[in-house]
Amino acid sequence: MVPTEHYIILALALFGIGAYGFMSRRNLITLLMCMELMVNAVNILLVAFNRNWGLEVTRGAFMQARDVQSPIGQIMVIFSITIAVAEAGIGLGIIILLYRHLKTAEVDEVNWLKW
Amino acid sequence: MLLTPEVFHFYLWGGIILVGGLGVVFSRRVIYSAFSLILSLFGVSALYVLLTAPFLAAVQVLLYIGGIAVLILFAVIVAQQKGGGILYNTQPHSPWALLVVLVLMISMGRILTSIQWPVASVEGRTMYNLQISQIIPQARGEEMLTPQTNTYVIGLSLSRTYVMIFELMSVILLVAMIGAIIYVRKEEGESGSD
Amino acid sequence: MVAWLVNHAYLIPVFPFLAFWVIALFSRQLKLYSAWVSIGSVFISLIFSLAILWIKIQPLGIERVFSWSWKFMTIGDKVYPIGIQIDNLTTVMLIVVTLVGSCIQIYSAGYMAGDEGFPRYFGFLSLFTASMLGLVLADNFLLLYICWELVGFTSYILIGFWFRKPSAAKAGKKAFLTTRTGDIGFLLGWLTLFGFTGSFALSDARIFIVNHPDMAFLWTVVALLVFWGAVGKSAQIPLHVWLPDAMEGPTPVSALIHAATMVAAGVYLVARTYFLFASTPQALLVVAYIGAFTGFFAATIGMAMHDIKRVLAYSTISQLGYMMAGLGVGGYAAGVFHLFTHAFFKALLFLGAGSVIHACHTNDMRRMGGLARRMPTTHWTFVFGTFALIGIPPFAGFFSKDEILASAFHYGKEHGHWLIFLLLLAGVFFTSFYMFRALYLTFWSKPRCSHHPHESPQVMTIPLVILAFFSLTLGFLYKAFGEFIFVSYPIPSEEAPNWLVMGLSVGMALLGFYVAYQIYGVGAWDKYLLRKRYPLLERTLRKKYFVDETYETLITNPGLHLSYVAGGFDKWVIDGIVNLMGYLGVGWSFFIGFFDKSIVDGIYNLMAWITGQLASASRRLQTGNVSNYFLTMLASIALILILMKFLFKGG
Repeated sequence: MVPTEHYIILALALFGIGAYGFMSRRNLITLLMCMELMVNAVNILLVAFNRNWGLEVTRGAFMQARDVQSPIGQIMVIFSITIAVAEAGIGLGIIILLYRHLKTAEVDEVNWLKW
Repeated sequence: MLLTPEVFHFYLWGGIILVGGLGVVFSRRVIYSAFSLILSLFGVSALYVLLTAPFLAAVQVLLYIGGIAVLILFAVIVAQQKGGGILYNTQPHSPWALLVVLVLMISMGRILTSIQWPVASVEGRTMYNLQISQIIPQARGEEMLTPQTNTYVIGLSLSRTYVMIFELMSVILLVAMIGAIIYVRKEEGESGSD
Repeated sequence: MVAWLVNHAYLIPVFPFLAFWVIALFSRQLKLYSAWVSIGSVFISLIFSLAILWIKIQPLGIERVFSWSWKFMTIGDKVYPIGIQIDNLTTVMLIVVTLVGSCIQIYSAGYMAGDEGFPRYFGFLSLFTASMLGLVLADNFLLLYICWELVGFTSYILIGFWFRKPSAAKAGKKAFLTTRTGDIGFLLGWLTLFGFTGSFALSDARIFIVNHPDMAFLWTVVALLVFWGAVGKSAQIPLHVWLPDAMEGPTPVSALIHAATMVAAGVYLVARTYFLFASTPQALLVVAYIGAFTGFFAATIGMAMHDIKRVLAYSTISQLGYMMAGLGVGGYAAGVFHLFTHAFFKALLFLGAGSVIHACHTNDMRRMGGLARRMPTTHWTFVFGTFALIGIPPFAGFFSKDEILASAFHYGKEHGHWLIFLLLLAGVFFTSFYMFRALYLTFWSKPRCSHHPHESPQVMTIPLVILAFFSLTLGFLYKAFGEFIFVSYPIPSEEAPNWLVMGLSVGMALLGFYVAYQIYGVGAWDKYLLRKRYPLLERTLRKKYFVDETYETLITNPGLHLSYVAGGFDKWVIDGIVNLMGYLGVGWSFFIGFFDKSIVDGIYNLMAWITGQLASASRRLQTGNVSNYFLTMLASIALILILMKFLFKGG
């Protein structure tokens, strides 16, 4: 049984890598990939917590609760994946649109909103 | 901690995830980043199996790797710059970013690990063990039991308790789909010279 | 099915109300179909009402009262419910409003065809129906008053329906203001009751009044105030002046609102609050006298009118007076029964008049004539309505009017006030005379029309036939009706048929017919006899007893003069003071302005300059680079975490 702390540290590391990539890289598509990394870090946490707390969280709310572990964390991951899919679609659409108009996919060249 | 198969697999796949993540960030070409992302996502899927969430593992492979990663690959191909690819170049504030990330991760790690998390004690009463007798009770010659597998339980929750959120999600997906189409559609009279 | 309808009878006013909104919102799309929406809604209400009637006429059903109640508001710990209640009186009114209403709406679809305001007309008609139904359903003074005012308002907009015509707009205003004069009385009356009982409900007021016979004087005052409202709505003397002018509206409106339903609301109000009147004989006596005088004088004015609709309008006033008199002399069932039958035959008469006007394009009876052959359906139904109105047996009006006369006779015998009976009896003669005069001038004499009139379309004649049928048959219900109403309000009813009164009444009617026949039928008597012999009397009648002129002199003109005086005072004195204050203010402002410009503005400019400098320094933060923003965000979170670490040692 791997303790939950290990999962937490793994997720933090993955999140840190994603965050650093998001801040340092210039290519917009890479930025999007880094966002996916961060999302996945959070998903891992959700599932890991669900393993420990599933029984405590919603025992009463579920049928035959004695034997059934509540899947609430996993359900949330499913929704999170759905959101990620939507976000990826929209994000890539925006990137392609930008690329078509500006002939660039670099984040620091898309800065019309500066001072 | 004993090196049980579970622990071994945790460290193996955790390492693969981190390596894949580092590959995403530090690859010289975008296409390599995308491949590293696939590797990392696959590692996450394996972790889901370890965490007794087989259904999520399947969803991860199908949606993330089969959907998002492939979508990103397409985008890489469409937005490929002249010269065959993009060299690794960073933004000027990268050192600051590294500092902030390190500070944040260390402090959050300290906070999170200082909490006494309850010890998982789910052996013996979890329904995640995929025994053939639970899926097909007739195989043991017994009367019909409710097959309480992970997928069954998730399906039940999605279609009963969380059905409203589920429907909302589908609306969001639909809106995103339509939005993406409207974005990338070529305007009337716009020259398609890219 | 019937049970379901009755259980949901509170929906009755909802359907026309919805129809009003549908027509109001989609009038452009609906166009002519708005008539169907309106007719359909009132028809649904009619079905509900018939279901209630069906339950009521079952054995043991007669004493059932259906009621619904909702919490209207809570003030402190006191809850004020608002509800509706269907007893036998309400059932009668529901039948009248929905049945007559549907006939008139169907007729309107033909009459108003081609008018540019077609959807508007039906929208308002629906609103009127909804408010009238709400009025008869209310079980409390608040809802009753709300619907009472709504009814007045819809009456106003429908009288002024052709608002481009100045006379119509003026008539609408007159009707509204006059009925408002009455409404004030009603408002004061029920507010007084509310002040004593602390409840809006009629039943509470009734119990309170029964338990406090020692406050009889107060109840008399309250009853007279409420009756003042009824006087305004039912166009009794002295507030009758608006009803003849209200004939400027479309004829079906006159039929529905100013003959069958709304003007009957005053009578309904007196019947509904009869417990109040019954507690004070003095108030009842006032009601009876006002009713009798109205019945008599309006009938005499009706003889001198040339406009067919005005003849019918004065006839309506007169008949409403009969109802009031009936209620006043204790003939509760008689008054309500006359209200019931009158709604049918007066609507019939108005619709017939509308049909005639539709054919002749004029209201003036002197330019009609000879229409009996050209418009047979209209003619025969009009004759039916006339017979019902003047009380020829076996038409409906005979039974109801006879009951009122019998009650008055009984009252005279017991209490001595014979004048009421005599006035009412004389009224029968005049009624008969002016109705046969109208028949002769319109249908039976030589054609004087400028063009060739023709029969109206079927959509207009079929409602006429339906109403004519009811005018003929409803009278036979008088005994059942009496019992039906008796349950609702047990008042000692009048005794068995009074043959003397019956004979007198029919004799008066026939006398009226004979005089009309001599003058207009064979021309044996000079029709200008009255004008030649008694010019003053004739002029008085033609000028409607100078009531309008009196009001003009006594109320309108002094009001105008007072306004002029007040206007002059306002202009010279008040304006002078205001202007003086203005000049003072301007002088003071110059001084303040100098101070403001140099010192206050200086401070503000300094502040603005500092802010500007800060802003131009800090705007560099807005790099426009998403990664940069994210970095700032994470750095802030890290900072917060570290601060928490130092500030809260436990974290």
